[in-house]
Amino acid sequence: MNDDQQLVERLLAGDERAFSAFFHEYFPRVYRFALPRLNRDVDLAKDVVQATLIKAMRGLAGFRGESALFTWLCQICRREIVDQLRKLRRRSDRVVLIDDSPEVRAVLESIEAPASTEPAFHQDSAELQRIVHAVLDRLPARYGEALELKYIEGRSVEEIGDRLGIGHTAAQSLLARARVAFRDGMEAVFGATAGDVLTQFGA
Amino acid sequence: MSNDQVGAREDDAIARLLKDAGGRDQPEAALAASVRAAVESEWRGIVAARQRRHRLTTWAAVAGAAAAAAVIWLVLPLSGERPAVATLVTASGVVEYRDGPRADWLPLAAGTPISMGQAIRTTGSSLAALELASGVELRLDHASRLAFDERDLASLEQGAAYVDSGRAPAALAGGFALHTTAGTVRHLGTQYEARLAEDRLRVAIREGSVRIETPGGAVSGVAGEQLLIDQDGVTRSDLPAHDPAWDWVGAVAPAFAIEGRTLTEFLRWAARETGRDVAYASADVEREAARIVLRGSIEGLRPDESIAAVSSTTGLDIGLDGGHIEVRSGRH
Repeated sequence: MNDDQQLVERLLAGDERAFSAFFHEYFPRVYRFALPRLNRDVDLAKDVVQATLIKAMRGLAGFRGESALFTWLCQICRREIVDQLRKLRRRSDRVVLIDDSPEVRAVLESIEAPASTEPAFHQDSAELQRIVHAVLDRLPARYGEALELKYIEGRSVEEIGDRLGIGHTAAQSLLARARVAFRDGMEAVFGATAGDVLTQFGA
Repeated sequence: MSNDQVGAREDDAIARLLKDAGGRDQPEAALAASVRAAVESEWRGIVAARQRRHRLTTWAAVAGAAAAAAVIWLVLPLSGERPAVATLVTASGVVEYRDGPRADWLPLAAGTPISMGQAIRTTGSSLAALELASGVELRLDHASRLAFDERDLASLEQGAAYVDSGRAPAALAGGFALHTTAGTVRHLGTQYEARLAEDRLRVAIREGSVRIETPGGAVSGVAGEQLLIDQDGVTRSDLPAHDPAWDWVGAVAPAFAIEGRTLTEFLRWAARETGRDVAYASADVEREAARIVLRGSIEGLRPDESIAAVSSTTGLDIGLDGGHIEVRSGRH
């Protein structure tokens, strides 16, 4: 039984800590998945994410662990987005993002296992930003947090450890694993090293 | 270039990529709290239902073993060899059950499971709300009697029963049928009432549609209709979903736990219980309703009374207008 299945088992058993862990880990990621697909309408994104997570709760017993829990949540969220937009008759406003394309979606969903194909994409810097964020969201939540604290907020390893409730050595180790996972994720999407991606985008 | 140098260059590139991309969107704390309250409430309900089903199964197993002893069989309210098919959720006044047509009627407490082959009845002043194992809700009016013949079949022997399959899983809810001397009522995702009076069956449909199998053939009814069925045939008339004839149903509605739920969720429940739809004055008001998180309890209040009680705490103007629950800005 993998980590996702264990978390689902604990949720079904009524484990309070499992619910907190589930919400903390997945709510922000599903929200970020929904927001850009709904023209950044915060209220609509809230409704969609709430409906997604409620449907996920109702379907927990049917989760078999055949895909990652986040992938499963994204599938529910996609259907919910389509339903909401249909209700609001705003289908024409729908934003189609690069990671909605089957190729990119497949790669993003297989980040934990290296991709067999090496697609190359030529997009602008806004798309690069979206892909970076999408890759961060596919990593374990603490990896994404650690990388943001280090490279975006400029925190020291000690501060990262304090924030995540772990010691200095553990924080260093976590950061190292997070960098590797992020680099692998970017390479899976772009079929190129991070340095080459930067060059390609002229960053 | 050494491996270390390559690694350092790659790490610099990762740092630049992340820095250039900037931080990810973070949902506001109030939004997160509101979503969490709604999802957590749903999760708790699902866990409670699973645990209830597990207890029923365990109870049936324990009772099954005990039933082997005749003395125990006589004192236990339920027969262990028969599966539990329903649970008494709430009762207003005395509700009784009996274990077979010749057994004595005995008081039944809320929370008690009811087995196949047993019957329950209300008195002239009591009402009962039950939940079937399939999740279908069933309510009994005053002076009513219902026998649980099979897992998905109950016989209305006297009075009136209200069936609501809207909150039950679709795969389970569809099989339930209510048998009467005048016909058997089957539903399609609906709310309806079946009432026996003298030799006539009256079926009123509040939502969805029903199919009634009578000795003279099958007839169908849709929301807003009531069908009077007797030996002369079927007479149809209109009965709006919010007609006062439905009031007894609200009087025994299990309370909606509002703590941590949004106003939208409460209104959805109240609309279903009162046979109305929710009419928001504007999209802003609708969004406001989705943002408002309720606190406290409406225990003991009828659905229409609870609308007034909740309205007074939200800052929005909520009132009943015909078949609608009107929701307006509080500034009006």
